[in-house]
Amino acid sequence: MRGEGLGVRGSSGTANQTCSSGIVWIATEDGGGRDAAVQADEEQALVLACQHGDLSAYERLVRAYQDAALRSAFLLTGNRQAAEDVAQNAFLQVFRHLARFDTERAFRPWFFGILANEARQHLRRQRRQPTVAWSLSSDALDGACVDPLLDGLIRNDERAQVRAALAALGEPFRTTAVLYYVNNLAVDEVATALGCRVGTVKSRLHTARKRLRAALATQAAPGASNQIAG
Amino acid sequence: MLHLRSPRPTQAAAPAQEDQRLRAALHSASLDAPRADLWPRLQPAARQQAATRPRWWWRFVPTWQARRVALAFVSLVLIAAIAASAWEFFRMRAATLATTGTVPDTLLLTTYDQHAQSSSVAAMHAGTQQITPILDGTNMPVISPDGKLLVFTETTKDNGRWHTTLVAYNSATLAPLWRVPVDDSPYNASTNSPYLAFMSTVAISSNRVYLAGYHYQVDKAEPIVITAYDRASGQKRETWQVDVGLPGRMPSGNVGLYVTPSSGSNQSLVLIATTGVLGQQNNMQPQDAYFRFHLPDGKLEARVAPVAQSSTQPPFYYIGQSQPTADGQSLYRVNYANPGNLAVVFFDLPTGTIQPPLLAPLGGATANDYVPYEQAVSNDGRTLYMFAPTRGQLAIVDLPNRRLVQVVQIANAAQGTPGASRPAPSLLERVWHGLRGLVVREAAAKFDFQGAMQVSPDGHWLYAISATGASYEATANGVLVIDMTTWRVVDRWLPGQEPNALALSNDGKHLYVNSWQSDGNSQTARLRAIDTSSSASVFETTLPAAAGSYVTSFSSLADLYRDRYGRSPRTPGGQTAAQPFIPPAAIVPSVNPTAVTAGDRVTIEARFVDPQSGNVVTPGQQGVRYDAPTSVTATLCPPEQGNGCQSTPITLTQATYGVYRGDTTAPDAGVFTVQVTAHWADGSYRSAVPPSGPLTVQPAFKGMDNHRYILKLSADPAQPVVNQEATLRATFVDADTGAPLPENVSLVDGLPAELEADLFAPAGVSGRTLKSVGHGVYQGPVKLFSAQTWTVRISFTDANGKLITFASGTLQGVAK
Repeated sequence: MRGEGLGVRGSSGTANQTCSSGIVWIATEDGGGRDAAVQADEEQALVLACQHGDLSAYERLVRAYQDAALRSAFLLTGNRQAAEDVAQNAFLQVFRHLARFDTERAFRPWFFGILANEARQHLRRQRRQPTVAWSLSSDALDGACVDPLLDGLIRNDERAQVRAALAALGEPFRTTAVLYYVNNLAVDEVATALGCRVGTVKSRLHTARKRLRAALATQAAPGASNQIAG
Repeated sequence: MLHLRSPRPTQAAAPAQEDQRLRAALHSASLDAPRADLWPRLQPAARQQAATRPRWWWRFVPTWQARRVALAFVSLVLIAAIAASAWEFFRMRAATLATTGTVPDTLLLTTYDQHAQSSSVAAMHAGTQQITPILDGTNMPVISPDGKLLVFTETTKDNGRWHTTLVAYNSATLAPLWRVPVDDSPYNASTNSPYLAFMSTVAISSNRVYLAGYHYQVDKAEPIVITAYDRASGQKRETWQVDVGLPGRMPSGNVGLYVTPSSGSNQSLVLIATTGVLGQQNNMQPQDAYFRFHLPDGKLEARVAPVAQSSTQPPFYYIGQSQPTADGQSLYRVNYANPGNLAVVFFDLPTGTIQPPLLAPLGGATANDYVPYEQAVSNDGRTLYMFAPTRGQLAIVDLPNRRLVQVVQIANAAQGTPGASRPAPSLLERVWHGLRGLVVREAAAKFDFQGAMQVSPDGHWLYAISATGASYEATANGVLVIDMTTWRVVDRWLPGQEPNALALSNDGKHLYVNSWQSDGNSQTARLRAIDTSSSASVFETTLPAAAGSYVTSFSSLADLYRDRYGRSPRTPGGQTAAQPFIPPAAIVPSVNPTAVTAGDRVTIEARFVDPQSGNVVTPGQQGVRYDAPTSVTATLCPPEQGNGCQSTPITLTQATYGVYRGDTTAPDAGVFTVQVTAHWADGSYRSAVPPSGPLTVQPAFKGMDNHRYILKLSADPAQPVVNQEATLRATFVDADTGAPLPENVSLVDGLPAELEADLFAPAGVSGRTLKSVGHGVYQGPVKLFSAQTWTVRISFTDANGKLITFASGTLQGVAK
């Protein structure tokens, strides 16, 4: 499903929604947020064009990856503003270092590796500034452009609980889980993105899965009716 | 409510289902993420970066595969270059430093006792002034290749016999390690026969100490005996006899013994013996013989006897008293070469042949002209520097390739920097030099440097003894600091002093400057230590010598090592570069006027100037170090009083930034050395004398009319022609108006009946009587016998019977 996930499948169905900013939001089942117009082989061509300074190619890459980047960054940082900063910095880093990128390798893990690194650096800076804290509650979502279709599926507070559970994971489990579950990278691609071994990724995923399960089970009240999956 | 737990699935399906649920949950949690178009924000930065991308070199390798190949190629080239450099580095180390030892920071000095007719050696640890006697009856030791062992040859006389003993010392602790007797010869004081002397020399390898010795006899050719001793214990291991095998000849003079590298890791022992004609005590026809032995068995590998001279002058005799090159392949020595130049003569150690000499033209033009010189080798032993300070020229020789690299003119060396002139010689000096010049010219070669020049550990600075005068009349004059990157003199230390030996501490921080001082009975060494980074005096001490004894030589262990192995030892802990040297401001004193009458006021000024430009320093000036002194004083001393001068210091006060001034009343008649000394808060001080020379004070004679009268000299012709008679006239004139002594006025102490005029020049002395030819006017014939400047000294006895003598002026002799 990954990599080819340009269509919209699964229970969430197709979700097109125009927000107040007027930007088209394309949600996909794989969560990668890849623009339907960008195919895998085209992606390689775009990267090559970028390497030769083609700004329009870079623009296409940005537009193809920005949604996925913003959502991943949001989950990693827990803050909407921070997510935008992180995603923006990640794209700048990509453009800066694209000349040295080996086009024989997959672009996607490389990109999300950079994004994860930017998010880590952001959180590290945040820790040195204690006045700015994680904001995982729905209070932080004032003015957010929320998909009403999905909103019907999982309410705001429930999504906040998932993010709280994700935040409670801690590093490096949070990043590993986001890359695997949200960005739909394969285990070996996560390993490439994070610069660690495949076994390490599997171990982290196992831990993340266990902790998420425990955290979400604790938050769940008896008689819960709104299960996300059965 | 979230509930991730589902009814327990089958064992295989459970993780996949849980992953599915987690994926959906996280995905929905991300729906609250901001939705923004980042491109408008990224575009400006991307556009700016795109303007410089791709980097130009990537244009030539557009694909990543090509870049990989290019990077691999560049990496391989870099690796190969690093490997080659490392190989060359280690090869060089193997050839030079791998076997280079370390030596302690110790200075050695030898003294000779005239009564005991014996030399002794003492040590002074650098940085201290403590003298430790080491051994009597010996001279400078031979140092081992690792620098840890000092081997002395001790000779003592007892019960009519000479006892020669080999004594080994630890160079670090200066504690004796072992001693072995090597010769015991009868001594007949009346005939000094049959054994005139046991001549010996020492060479040291990693595990042996070799001694080559023979009994020198005028009428008998004795074999040379080589004995190998265990280096650690001194036990005798092997003995070989060497017959020089030259009919009608005998060993004469010192022999040379060298451990040299041969093929592979093998070593050879080379013996070079100088021979003389049997029965002739003075060896006027020396011939050298060469022997090479395989080590450790002593098998004779090669013999060349006699060694043939090169067809090119100058010849190379007494080869065994030469220095080896660092690679152990050659012996070399600096010889004089006509016309008035220098040459390096080489002896090839593996083949035993003299190589054509390397001529170094140092501006000489006259045959047999004496050119004083100093020499030093670079720390790696590859470069020889020969410096002729009187000509300011320095020859650079590539020793391994036996090639003259260049001859450079050292800027400011011959001319001298400000404040560097030597004061005019005293009366005693002039008389002595004049007499010496008349008698024997060889004795007048005053430029006798025992110590070599010194190269700083970082190879940046060359410390050389400066000289004034020329040829045989050259006189040492302070120390030059030469920048080896620009070949310029950047500073001059101890101007006016006559050093004869230099040594450098191992770290290059202290320069030891030695000067002999003789009171006619004993000769002491005046040793000064200078901080090379600041040029400040660190200490100054007199190395003691008992009555009847002479300090004869002065050397650091590093110098001994260089002499023996052709290169510098390693400094413990690695070569320590000397501190960066910023030349301090030079002191330029001046006195105005330079010739006055007793009682006149004279002004003394000291200017601190940039040694490069000669300009007075300015506040905050870069490239020159100037710390305002706490006090600046001047003294006026008769030169012959030297350090014993008791003159009251004249305080100079700051007139402007870097300029100090003071005045005083000219003392009684005479010639006075003006010395300005600046003192700093840390106790350091520096002195300088005016480049214009000493202050000449004419005596003023009081007239009956209360006017002051001085004696004015004139000659007819004004510049006498050499070897032609001229008239010298001396007239009493008014000191203020220059008018002659009036007929009706006499001097308070009476007019002398006649005057004695003594004339001095480097070529000799001459005396004449000037008869009275009028009221206060005296004249007489003179004949100058060289076209030089002659100083006229007038003497007479006044009415009170007091002898009055003073330098009254000069006459310039001109050639026909």
